[in-house]
Amino acid sequence: MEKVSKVFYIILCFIAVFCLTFFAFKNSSNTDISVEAALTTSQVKTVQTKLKNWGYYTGAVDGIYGSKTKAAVKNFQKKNKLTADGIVGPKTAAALGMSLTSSKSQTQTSSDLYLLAKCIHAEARGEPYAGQVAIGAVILNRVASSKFPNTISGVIYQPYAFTAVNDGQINLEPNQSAYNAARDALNGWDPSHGALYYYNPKTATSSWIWSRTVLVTIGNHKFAI
Amino acid sequence: MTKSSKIAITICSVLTALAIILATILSVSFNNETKNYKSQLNSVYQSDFYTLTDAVNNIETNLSKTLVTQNSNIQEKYLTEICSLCKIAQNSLSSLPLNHQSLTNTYKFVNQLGGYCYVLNENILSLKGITEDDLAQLEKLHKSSQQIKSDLNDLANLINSGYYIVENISDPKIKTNNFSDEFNFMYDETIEYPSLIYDGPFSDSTEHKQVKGLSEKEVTKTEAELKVKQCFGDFEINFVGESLGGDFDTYNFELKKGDITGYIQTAKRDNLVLQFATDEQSSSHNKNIYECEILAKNFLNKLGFNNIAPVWSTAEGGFVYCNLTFKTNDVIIYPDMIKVKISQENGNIVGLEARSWAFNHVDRADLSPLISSEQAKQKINQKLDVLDTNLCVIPDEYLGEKLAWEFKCIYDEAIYYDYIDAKTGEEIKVLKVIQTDNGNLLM
Repeated sequence: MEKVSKVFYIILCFIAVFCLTFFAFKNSSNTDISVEAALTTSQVKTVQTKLKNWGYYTGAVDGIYGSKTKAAVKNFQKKNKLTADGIVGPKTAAALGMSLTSSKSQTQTSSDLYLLAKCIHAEARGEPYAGQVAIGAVILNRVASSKFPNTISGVIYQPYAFTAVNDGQINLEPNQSAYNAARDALNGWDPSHGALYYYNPKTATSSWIWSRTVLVTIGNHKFAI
Repeated sequence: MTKSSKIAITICSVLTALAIILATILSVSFNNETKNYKSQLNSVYQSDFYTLTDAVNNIETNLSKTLVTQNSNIQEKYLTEICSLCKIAQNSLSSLPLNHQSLTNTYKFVNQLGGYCYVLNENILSLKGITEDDLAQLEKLHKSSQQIKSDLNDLANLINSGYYIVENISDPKIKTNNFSDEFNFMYDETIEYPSLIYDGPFSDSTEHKQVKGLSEKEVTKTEAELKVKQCFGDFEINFVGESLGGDFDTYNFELKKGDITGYIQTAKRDNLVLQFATDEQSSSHNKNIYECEILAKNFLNKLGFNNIAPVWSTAEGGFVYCNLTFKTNDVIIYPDMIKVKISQENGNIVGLEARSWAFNHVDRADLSPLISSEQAKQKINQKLDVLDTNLCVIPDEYLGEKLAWEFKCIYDEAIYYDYIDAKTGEEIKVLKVIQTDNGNLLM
């Protein structure tokens, strides 16, 4: 009897290894982007507020698409005869009376602000406010300079230009401080005084970057031309 | 060995074999996927590279044709072609996986060549024509483009013979980034890049702006600190260092009040508050734009900026950005612009930007128009309904200034600002107010 249970134990182990191998491969080859993540924090807040007002949702309006929100969305979908998958797609959004995209009328969305805020957040969160505005200003100084690409997205996505783009941190959702700093930079604030480069002296390894003339040090970054 | 243990061993062996088979299948498919991604990326890089090579080849040809022809209409055609080719080359360059330092000069060359040809074109259109100096300059540019062309074509031959770009790129921190090394010909001194000064985008002259608005008198750190304390007394103020060698030498301070932090920089020359901003948040809209403009003006008066008037404000993300400028004898001096940022939640001043003022604020000697506003009005499109007329000084596209009549107009429910040169009567610029989800923009 003892032997039989040992055998079962071994079999169980194999099954476990089997499953783990399978999922490890599956996850490494698929970057899963959940549909919930496609909603911005403010859109999630809108969903929560609406569902709360109509009595589907009892949790906090915090902009986080958690299990409670999902359950509330499912309930709402069931009541409105939509597919109850807990995902706010175009149909559910329409039933909620909200739009997932901005209207195509006179107004235009400003992807520049968003991109700039993303880069500031990824490169300089935790830095003093001046340091955050300065990163935004460096990007805009590069756009204006003859030595760099001539658009904000060109500068940000230039290969090897920003470590945050290389390691994917650029895709983190920017916080309010990054947005404010990006707006200030777009409106002309530049505490770096025209810098085109910056580096953290504790981590910078390129001898070339050390040879640039430093204009100002803000927090952990040296800003240079 | 009992029967049950035999069965168990058999089951185990079968499962192990299955696990190995599955792992192999998965790893093969995973490898294939990686290969596919690599191959796709390589195709993108190759396409960028060939586009770049093509663009440079055509730039060289068009430059040589421009030098040969005598007909300005044909010159104009070739120069236009060069401008758009430069944009294409620039786009391809910025997508290729190359270290920035190996590219600096090439970027500059391509951008400046495009900007220069654009200006030459303008000169042809305004009947100024191309001068002998311009032709000499074009000759030099042509020589550089010939060198770049020949090096790029060598590299194209290498890629044609099977050089796989993706296999030859690595982290720039590791020194053997082979593909970048292949591009080093652009960085070393075998190619001569002429220095270009012209009145257009990316000219060498625009990279070194002159500070005209400040006197030579410098203040000490103590004097600067005193001024900051006078103006921002409700903040805890700490000196954090100086900025040297940029457009302005400044004393830099950090500001703190509870959770709010910020910075302030004062110019050493004239002790002018050059820039200040805090990270104060604002989530409600208790103050409207008009109220914010009054607060901004009072704040600037307190700092010592007089004869200032708000000209353009926009509300974004809970803040109002007010643009105020110097006004003298009813002439609006746009180059002397100061920006003030105000919280709509509580009317607090949360930012100031006065570098344009420091760059430009001088006494303008000649502010009298040669043509009247009525004459100027005849020059604008009669479809436009004029709402407001002002005499103003506007920054000319590249570093100069112009006296102009400004007409605020409405057409098809959109607001436009139309500018007519007050000396020559020429229409110089049209701006349109564009609504965005982050406030209104002037474009």
